[in-house]
Amino acid sequence: MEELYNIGLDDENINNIIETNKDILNISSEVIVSLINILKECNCSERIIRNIITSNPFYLNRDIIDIMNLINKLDSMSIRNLDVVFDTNPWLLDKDADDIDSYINESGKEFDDVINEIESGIIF
Amino acid sequence: MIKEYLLKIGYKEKDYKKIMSTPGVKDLTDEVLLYNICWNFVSLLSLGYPRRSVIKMTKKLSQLFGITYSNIENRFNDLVNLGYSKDSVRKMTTTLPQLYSISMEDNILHKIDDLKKLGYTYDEIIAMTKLLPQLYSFSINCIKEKIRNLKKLGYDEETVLFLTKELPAIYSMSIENITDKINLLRDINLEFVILSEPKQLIQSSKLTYARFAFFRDKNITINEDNYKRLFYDSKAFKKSFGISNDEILKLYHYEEYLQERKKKNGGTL
Repeated sequence: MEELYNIGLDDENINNIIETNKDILNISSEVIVSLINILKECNCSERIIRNIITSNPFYLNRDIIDIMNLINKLDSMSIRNLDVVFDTNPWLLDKDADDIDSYINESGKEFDDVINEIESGIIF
Repeated sequence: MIKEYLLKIGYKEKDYKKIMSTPGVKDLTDEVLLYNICWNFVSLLSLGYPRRSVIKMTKKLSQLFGITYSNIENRFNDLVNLGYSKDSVRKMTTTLPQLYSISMEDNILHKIDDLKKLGYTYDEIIAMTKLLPQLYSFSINCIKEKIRNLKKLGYDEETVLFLTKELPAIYSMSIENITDKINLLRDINLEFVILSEPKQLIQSSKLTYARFAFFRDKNITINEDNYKRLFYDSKAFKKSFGISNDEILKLYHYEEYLQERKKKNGGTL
């Protein structure tokens, strides 16, 4: 759990995270560090990363490749400021790139409107 | 055999490895595991989950292959009997597949009782958990701690209940995040937004601050009459004010506001 302390989470937060997602205890430090680093590469401050992990502890269960694919998907849609997008909607990080494709196909919404929903945190 | 079957129905090699190392699954015989995979997969499909959701849920919670399909169907019906629509149950369990593995009596029903003791009605609990199924995974102590922290920020019990009913996601936010959002709205004289539209607390403080600073530089005072501008969706904001979130965030920096606030308060936020 050292990695979580390193981004400024305290005992209370970490206990709450573990309580919500007990699997965290089985996740290797390398994976946790990689998932945190992906968020840093998206320009997330430690403050925002703390919010993301506290709000959505299941982020730490995600497969690194799946998260990279999701970020590439958002990037390909020209969605910028992923730090703000994830800070507003940390649960977006539970989605896969193909969830977004399916939403675009099944909702019948214009591509621009889907981008707007993602940017504004009103999707998923 | 198991590997071939999983690959055939849409899983990847890495999913197979994860499933096979999951406690409660790894100890099953190949025969029982294959039977569970076949029946549970079909059972979830017949409950109306799209195939990709079934794969997602079982990747998230591979223990789903360690229980029988009748357990799955019974739990689905138990949740419907609590008052959720079938569609809500599908959404909730896709978000939190653990709803299939936690105990009905010791966890779900107990949590509902605990929340009632805190002052929520049954219908409010159902509505809140529909939006935030994770509430079932939080301990009652964690929930009480959030309430205590909100009270420390100056809200009475009735207000805390109101805020959390309107925006159950407050229970998933860290107190640091809630405090940041409330402090910002207080600093810019928009504290009334917290009570009039708690849902706006979901927006990132970084964006709220940048938009506020943008209007301040245009000599536009944001007040009770026009505060909604701060919370327009990105498309409406650009259309109304000619500037995108991206551009505005490059101009105005929330971190500088935090530093300034820290200085003013003698080193604390």
